Amino acid sequence: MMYQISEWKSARVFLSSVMATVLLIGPVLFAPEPGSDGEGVAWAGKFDKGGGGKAEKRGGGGKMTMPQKSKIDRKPRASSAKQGSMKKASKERPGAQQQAKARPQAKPQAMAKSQAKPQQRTSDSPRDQPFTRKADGKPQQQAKASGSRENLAARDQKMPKQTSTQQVAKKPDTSRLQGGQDRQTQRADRDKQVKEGRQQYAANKQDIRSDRKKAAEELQQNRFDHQDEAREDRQDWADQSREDRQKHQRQMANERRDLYEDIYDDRRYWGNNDYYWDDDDDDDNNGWLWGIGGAVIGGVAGYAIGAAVNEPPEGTVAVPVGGVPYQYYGGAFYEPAPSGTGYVTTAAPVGAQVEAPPIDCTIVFGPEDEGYCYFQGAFFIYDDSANQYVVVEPPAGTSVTYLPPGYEEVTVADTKYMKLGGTYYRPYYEGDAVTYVVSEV
Amino acid sequence: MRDLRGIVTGALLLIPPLLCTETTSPRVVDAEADRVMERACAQLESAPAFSVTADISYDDVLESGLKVQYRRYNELVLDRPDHLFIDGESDKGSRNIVYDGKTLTVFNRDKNMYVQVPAPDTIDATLDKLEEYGVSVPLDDLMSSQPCAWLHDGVQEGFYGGRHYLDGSFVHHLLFRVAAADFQVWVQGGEVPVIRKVLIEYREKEGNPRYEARLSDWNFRPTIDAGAFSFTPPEGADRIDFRAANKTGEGDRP
Repeated sequence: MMYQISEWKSARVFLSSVMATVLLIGPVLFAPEPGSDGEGVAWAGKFDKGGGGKAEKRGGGGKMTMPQKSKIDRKPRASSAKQGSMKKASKERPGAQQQAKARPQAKPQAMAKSQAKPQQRTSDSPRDQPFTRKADGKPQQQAKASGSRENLAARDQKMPKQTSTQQVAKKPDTSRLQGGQDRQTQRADRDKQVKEGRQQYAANKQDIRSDRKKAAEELQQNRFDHQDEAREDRQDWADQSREDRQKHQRQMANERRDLYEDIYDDRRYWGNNDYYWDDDDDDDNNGWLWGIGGAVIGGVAGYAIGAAVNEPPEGTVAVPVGGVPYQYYGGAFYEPAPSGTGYVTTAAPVGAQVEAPPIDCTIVFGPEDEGYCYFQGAFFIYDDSANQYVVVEPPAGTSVTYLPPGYEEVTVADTKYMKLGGTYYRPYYEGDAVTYVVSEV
Repeated sequence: MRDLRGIVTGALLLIPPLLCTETTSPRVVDAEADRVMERACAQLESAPAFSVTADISYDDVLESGLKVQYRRYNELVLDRPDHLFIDGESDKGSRNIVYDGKTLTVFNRDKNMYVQVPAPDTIDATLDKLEEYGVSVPLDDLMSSQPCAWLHDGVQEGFYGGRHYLDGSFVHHLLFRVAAADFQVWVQGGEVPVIRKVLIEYREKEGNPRYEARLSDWNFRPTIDAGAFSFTPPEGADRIDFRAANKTGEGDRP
């Protein structure tokens, strides 16, 4: 018996040793070689030596395999050294650079926001009206969108009551007659309330504040993805108008972030209970913080049209369009799955009105210099009268830096287009990048 | 009284030149820095052809202030006055620029798309044309017929820093300052002086981004194959057009 036990022990020790060895050596034996799978690309191996015919060798007879794309090269830049030209650097004037340095405060104070936004939105310059629909421009789009608004209004009466979040988000009165002044007053009042709420809330729950900060940082970080590639690729020595564009883009990005903060402030402080702090608040109720982060990640990185989910992320808003009860969050639209169970992500439906544009959208300019928030093939424009962002038909002449998966390549009159949904995009070389321009075919 | 009038007149005569004096800093470049840089530039300028490899890193400064360093790797073959080939690979994509004296091609290998336009008859004019189209050509100084234009027009200060170690040997280390940036240049002396490294710090740009290029495989007698500067589109490549900046819809309708 003793012998048997000791034999069993030996066998166990032996087996353990074998397993440990496999665990230790396995990863070494089966580790991918550097450069074998998109990792650690060996520069030297990628170049042909000896002059000519390189293009042909590169082409290799057909489409190249797409290399791993940089994930951060779409992030908005404050500056870049990519030009690397001594001649041009010696011609640059310090003054011009200083101007570029004077960018807006990353996170304006609540009162500053309430003053800044209406001012921008009532400016005459289209450049000063981020995503704002022009009254005299693009009549067909406006007609479509306003038509859809009417439809929406009619449907809203039939539809069951929206979430309280949406009720809160909707302003008490968005009538044109009230004008910008009323909205400014409302916003100022609301900001004041938010501020007071924050103070009181912070007095009770200091730790929430640190969570908020962390969540805001996450939001900001997420926002950096999927940004404007074309603008990044523009020349460093470009003229003042480009500088203005970049400055304006930052301004709009900041405004977009402010808008998000406003909205999520609303949700946090008024939340589902219509008041802005809760003494019974506990850690579980802070789920919204991480919900935003998760939803944004889900709405951006994992947003593939047609993907099925059991249910949309927490905090989605009902956005009915054409009788379809879409759910919207973080730029992604969800519609009930045809199977009747769960949801599928879908392309943004034209006519949809949302309170917040996708946080990671790219700012693009239409033919009349109107600004759109572009995200995954959808164009959002701010509708001042409704204080909402409306999904419109892709405006012809607008250039975007990427297309979501799902387009097909078509040739019309010897010209190549990418067809996405019903929209034709024509590829161009613009600056250092290939861009896609909405075209009428 | 006459003395007073003379003084006033003299003062008035002195004022306009003072008012017109430019506020730019005087050029202060020590002789050794000038000499070493001029020799390297003269070598480039006089070379009828050359090839070189540039291993480049440069910073982007994000809005948050975070600095990102990107890499770019260029092989350059130049045959004056009207042939140029740049084979580039970078974190942001791969690209060829091919110029044969008549046609300029920019080929985006990742998307298998290329642009082809009629080109001017010199490399200098073609570089200007690329700039017009918004295509950046790093280290265009090397390709220019006047590689040291910046040294004569723009440099405010220049110093010889001594012989410093670089990739296995001691080379001349030069420091220059222009209005918006600082340059450091490492030059290998000898019979055929060459620039081995360039570091540009954009002093006036937010976050002071840097551009660094290490230059190797200098060859002033490159073997250039027939057809080295001609572009044959790979199978399935799509020809597209340049789109001028701020173009609005026009021409987007077939």
